[in-house]
Amino acid sequence: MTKSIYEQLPLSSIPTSSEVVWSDTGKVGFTHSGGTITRTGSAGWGLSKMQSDKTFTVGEGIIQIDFSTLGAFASGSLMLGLNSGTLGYYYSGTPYNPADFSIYMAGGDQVEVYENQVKKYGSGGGRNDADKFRITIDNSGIVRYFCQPLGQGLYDLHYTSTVIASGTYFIQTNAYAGNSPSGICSSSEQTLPPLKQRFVETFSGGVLDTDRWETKNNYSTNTFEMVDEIDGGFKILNNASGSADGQIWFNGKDQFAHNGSVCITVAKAHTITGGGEMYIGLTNNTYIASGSVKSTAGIRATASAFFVQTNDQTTNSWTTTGVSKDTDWHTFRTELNGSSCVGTVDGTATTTKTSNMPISAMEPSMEIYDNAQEVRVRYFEVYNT
Amino acid sequence: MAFPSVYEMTNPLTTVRKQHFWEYFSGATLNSRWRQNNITGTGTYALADSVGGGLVLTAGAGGTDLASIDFNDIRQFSPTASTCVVVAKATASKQSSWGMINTVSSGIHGIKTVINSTNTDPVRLYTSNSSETAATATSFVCSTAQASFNTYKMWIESSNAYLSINGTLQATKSNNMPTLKMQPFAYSRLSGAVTNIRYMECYNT
Repeated sequence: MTKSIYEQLPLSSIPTSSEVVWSDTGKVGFTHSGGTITRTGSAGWGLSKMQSDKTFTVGEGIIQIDFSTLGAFASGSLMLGLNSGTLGYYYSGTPYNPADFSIYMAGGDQVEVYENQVKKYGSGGGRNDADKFRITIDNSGIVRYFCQPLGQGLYDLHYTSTVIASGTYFIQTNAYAGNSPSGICSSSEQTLPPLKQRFVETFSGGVLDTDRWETKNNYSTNTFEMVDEIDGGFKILNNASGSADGQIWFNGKDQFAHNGSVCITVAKAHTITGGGEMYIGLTNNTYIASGSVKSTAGIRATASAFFVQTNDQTTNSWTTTGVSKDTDWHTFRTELNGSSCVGTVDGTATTTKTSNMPISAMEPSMEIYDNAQEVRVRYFEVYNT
Repeated sequence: MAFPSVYEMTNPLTTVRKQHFWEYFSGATLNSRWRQNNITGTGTYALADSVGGGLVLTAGAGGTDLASIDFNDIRQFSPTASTCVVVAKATASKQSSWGMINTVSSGIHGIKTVINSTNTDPVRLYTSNSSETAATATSFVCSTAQASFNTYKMWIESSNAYLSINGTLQATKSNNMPTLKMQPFAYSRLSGAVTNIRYMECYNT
């Protein structure tokens, strides 16, 4: 079943996960405190079952549960996942209704997927107590299983179920060993909010998409063209003998918020020397280099360094990122949150600027100033948050 | 799983993203990023007014006519580390092709899938260098490629090229590998050949 890009990616906000509220109804062999569960009593699969208080219906938002074991967990055998119908046991017991979609956390593979008691997937490798797990069901019923190794970084997709989920589910847990396994669990439902303004430009093709971009000679003449090189992208070359300024922008269509937006670009200060300047980010006007009244937030490069630059329609100012200007491609990210502009270079160097924040809506823009300067770009993404 | 940005779908922010584009072939007209390149005869390049139709790329009526789309010789993709994904359909008894290439008219330095004019022929993976093109057959016959849309993924590494169809690896080859930078392309060939394309994605790896 095909999933929409709308559902996959551009959620404007991701709800915060909350602790699962566990139900005492039908509970056997478990205690719970907040999101933490503990197995009690004698060992045996037929002696443990517990379900969440809340239920989740496919098609009413993305269902996601996150969980892990708590502390050392070498000998335990904890099963956690989603089930439908009546709270059941994983193995034996009455009613015997093993979870429809679950992950088995024990001493075997790092990730073991069980569906209705049948092992559907084993990742190999060994599980670490710090590993975290995630099961999601999207609006079309596709069930995916993830692991975040050591509880750090991105969740890796391990298995996509061949069974399409439908109807209503609750979270179910079962465990074998008595008095040892514990786990923590959170859950969330993500509804699809109306998509906010977003655009992505990959600067690929025979010509610049001038249905979207306007090329603008703010001062003297400049060259605007696609680059016939591997990973070349698009360039603005200031080829005037004296001072000149060239820019691409949306021709005055300001769709991005000064107090809630993210701008990500991949660009290079191909030739920025002497008094040359590069600017890439958001603005509501042309000729940023002139420093006149406009709202602006983005990355500025001079011959010496990269800066986070903002303009509050009164004062144009910038703060160094601490990254020296070079001629390499870089990933620039700036985020406007209402009180500051947070800039990163290649995901690491972080600069927070709070002065002279923009005060009105803006649009994407790239600009170069002075003579014989050149700037290149191969990716531009902006979205409201 | 939701990602905050399209960028982070494919790369963390600590990795500088390489050239990467995708095209849905949706809209009133073909986007101007594409050159409508009539190699032989005069083709037509129309967005289909039908569900799932994509771009309808039609060769002229001549027996050797060839109509193509490309990036006007702006070549941003690597001959040794790149991937091309195409969702397309061909016409019975004609020829269709798609992939990445240096020069469409000469067919040099590229990697492409070719649907042949004989329906029982296998779909073939071609790579080319400066002098010749060599084919590797797949177990996927052209009549299947002509009957419905399928997903073709071609990728090239330093010494091998690959083709998978609908997620199953179908062909690997290592001779006649391109050495020059490439651009995306697709073509319809032979009298009135039609190729429907609804998705193309290329990226350097």
